[in-house]
Amino acid sequence: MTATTTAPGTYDAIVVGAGAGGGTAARVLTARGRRVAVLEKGPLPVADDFLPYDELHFHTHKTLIPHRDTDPNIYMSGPGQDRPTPVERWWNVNMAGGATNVWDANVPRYTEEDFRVLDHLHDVPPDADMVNWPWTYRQFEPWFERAEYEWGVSGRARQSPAQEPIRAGYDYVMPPLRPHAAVPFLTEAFGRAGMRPYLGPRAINSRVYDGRPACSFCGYNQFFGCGLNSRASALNTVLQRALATGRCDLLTGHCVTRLVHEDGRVRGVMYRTEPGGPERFLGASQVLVSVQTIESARLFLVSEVPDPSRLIGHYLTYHTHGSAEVTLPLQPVWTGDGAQQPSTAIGSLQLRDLYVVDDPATPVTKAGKFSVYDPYTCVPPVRLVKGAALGPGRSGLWGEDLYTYLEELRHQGGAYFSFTGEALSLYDNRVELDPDVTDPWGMPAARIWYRHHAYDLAAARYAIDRVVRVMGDAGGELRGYDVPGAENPGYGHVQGTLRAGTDPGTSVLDENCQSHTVSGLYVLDCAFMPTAGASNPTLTLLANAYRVCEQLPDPG
Amino acid sequence: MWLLRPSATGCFDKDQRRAVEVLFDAVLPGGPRRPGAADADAAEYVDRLLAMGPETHPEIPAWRLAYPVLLAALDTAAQRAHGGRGVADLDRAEATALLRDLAAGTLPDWPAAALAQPAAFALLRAHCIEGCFGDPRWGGNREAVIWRWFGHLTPAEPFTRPAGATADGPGEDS
Repeated sequence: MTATTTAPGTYDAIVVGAGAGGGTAARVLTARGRRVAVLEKGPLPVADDFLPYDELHFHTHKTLIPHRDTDPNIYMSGPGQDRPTPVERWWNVNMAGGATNVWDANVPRYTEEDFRVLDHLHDVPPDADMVNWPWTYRQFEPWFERAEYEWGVSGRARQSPAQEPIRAGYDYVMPPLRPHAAVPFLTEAFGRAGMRPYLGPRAINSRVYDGRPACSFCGYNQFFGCGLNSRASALNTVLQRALATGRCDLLTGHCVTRLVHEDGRVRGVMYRTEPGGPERFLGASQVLVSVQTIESARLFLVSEVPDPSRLIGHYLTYHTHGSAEVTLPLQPVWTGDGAQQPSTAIGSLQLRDLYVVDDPATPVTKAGKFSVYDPYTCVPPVRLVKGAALGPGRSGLWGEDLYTYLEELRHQGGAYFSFTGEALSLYDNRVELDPDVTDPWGMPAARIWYRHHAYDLAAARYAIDRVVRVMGDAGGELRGYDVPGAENPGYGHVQGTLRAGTDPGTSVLDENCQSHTVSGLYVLDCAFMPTAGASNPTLTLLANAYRVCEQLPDPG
Repeated sequence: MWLLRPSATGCFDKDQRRAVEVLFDAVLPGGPRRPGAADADAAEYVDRLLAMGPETHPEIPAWRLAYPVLLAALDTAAQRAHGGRGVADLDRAEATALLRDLAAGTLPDWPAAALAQPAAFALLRAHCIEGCFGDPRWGGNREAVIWRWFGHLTPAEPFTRPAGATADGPGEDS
């Protein structure tokens, strides 16, 4: 694979950002015969750049993400949301391949409970603005399958009634990754509570696929690059195919500073090739933006895309995140043998039984799902030990307390549950341009107002507490316990800001993810999502990118 | 492949280095059957880290300024509590008590120029953990002693300090 820096020629389409959405757009459009330029402000990495794996280098020292002091998001913190606070951007990885270079590759589908959220989320609080998506799960189904095929998803359909509905006759392109040794115990424990966890789909090879080797279970996953290309990325899947057509120019080191539009039509983009360098113009009649939810809103605002209903940047959502960690004194250390995953950073089980809640004890009707990990074998040690806890309110361990925690890990089983939850859409949760702070390229930083609705917090706490009870019944003792608060200075999955919908009065994009006010301008990252959904969003982002780009009209 | 470029020299003077060793030994106090910060030489990790530049971590210049002020403030607190003995001369129990007060923010007359006490404790704890549980190439976790005992990347092994060897740490009665 090569990148070119030859002077841009005539392109049918410009893709802004070489990550999940942009790479998929390049793949589809070049296959359709279009000539495409992909502008990526970061460099072109190779898998070797991620070696040697090193937690201090890649995670502790935050090598791959923009630094908070020089290229931050500005989060308005405090009860009055009046304290501009620079925050990290953990999921902005500015290089070809974007965040798929360091992702967990946890790829569930959004389901009808997300697409038709109002059918499942009852008694929506009046201050929330929840909407059904303008598509159905069935309409997305072929695009999910396309994404799972081209990105190489391992998994198994029909393991559990709680799993995403998979059509008869379909299965993933390869079997699931080897399970952890804890899987039988956890399956039985949750089975007694009427829950059915299952081996989750992962964009990680369980065998050789698409010219890429099977996972070696090296011990590192999220926040680390994959030195073997066993884990899918935009670079080793879709971009590779796009470049092989000869119709794609991947222009790294090209930062798009402005979307150029005139009389309601997109004309191209302005870009720089170095901070402080001259702005140059590149023209095309179709521009597809996919630079991450907050970043796309920032680009729309900088570009003064007409916004008669004042919707750009609004309805930002972050999934709620929380976790619980238990130790199980009567269970052995789950290091496994040859039939199970060895020490890795990859979880096995997904627990989706609390996606929809029907419990008279709570007003919560939609919560979310859990990814289940083994804290001992799945989390690299520096991060694990820094987060060590011996129960609620007993974190920050050191001295003898820390050894108590470490000895538990060494001598008995454990489980770590990571929650991804529904978040209600609120108009005032939004992105604006910061009046004071600029990024290294001279663009205003994003200023973010975000507070979770009380419903989000109640749903997360309900789901986490249910899991803790099940584990307690199975002999577990609670160690880490992290339930979200109203403030979210930037953790995790992020959606909205450029909502898609059929009504220009209530949405920024139409149902094909084209701007209502600038024709030829499309958005493919999670900014298009009308509501948050309650699963890891990337597969749904990919499915939408396939859907939009396969149906993209001929360039005018 | 990325290359770690270790610094040729450390950043601490002899007294500062000894003080960091004493403090880290209290954060992760090893024993006859468990390795600790002294076995890992976690102080070597932070000594080398601070000698690197912001290209390794953007906060290194700030840490390089913070450590001498922090260590001097702790020295003053130790001398006041222990009849003139500084941090380097504390035994493990005394160092543990000092850190407990630091974490709680209850050390008296803490200088305004130093990091706030809880933040100072969090920094020491974080660097000690990194020096114990990070990759040995950074100077700590000597011969992967902590990984081998803990079971990172290879199955956990029992730890037995070689006969005659000491943890080279303060206060341990091994």
